[in-house]
Amino acid sequence: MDMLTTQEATPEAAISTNEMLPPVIARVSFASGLIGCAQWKNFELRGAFDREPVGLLTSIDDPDRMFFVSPIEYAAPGGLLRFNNEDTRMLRQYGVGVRDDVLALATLNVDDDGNLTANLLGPLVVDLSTGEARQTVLTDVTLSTRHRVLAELSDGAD
Amino acid sequence: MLVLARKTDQAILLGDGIRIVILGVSGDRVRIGIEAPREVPILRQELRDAVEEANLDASDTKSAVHRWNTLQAALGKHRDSDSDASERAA
Repeated sequence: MDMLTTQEATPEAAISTNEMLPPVIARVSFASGLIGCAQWKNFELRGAFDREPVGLLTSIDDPDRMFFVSPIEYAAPGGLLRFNNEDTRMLRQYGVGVRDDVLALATLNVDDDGNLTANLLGPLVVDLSTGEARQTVLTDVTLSTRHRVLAELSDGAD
Repeated sequence: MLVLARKTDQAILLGDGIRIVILGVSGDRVRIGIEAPREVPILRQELRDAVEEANLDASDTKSAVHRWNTLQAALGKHRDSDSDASERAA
């Protein structure tokens, strides 16, 4: 029998069947796609960012693509304050830090040592009211695509 | 690729709205000034490439379970830490 019981459910099954996924809060469209991946334009944003720091961005165009995302203020202490004037000006121009319904999200990953990392160099800006989204590349060359998040907390995580 | 030779303070025009000026040359570094409409993105190629690579790495569902488990472990420890701090404060 192929049916999984609750105890037998695996993370793979949970993710593939949306069992454990947070609710969809917006359907978003990147007019130009993501950087270097112009074909990925349409996504569902899942999360409850008022309660949990991590959400999901699942591709509608390519079912093999999904991102874990976190608001910048969670992924990097200081949030917008850590960005230089040019980057802050650019983000504010898109509504980040100006409107409550505009989010700046960092994609999350896990490095080879099992550390949780965030892409601070290329944040995603999502307008929840219109569904319009874009990925920016910031100008600060000291920002990393693999900024360690909660470094001391992810030590030892599988 | 079109190849042009320029001297300091000389410029190149791209269409009607973009002007690129050579500000100076020092060793193997060239300082360039760019005037362009605000809506035209101007990116350092290596940063754009790094973001592209990060997008590909971070979006692969084949590694999603590993990332999911790491996230849950990290967040679980974070919640435990917060809880302990709250109890100590109380």
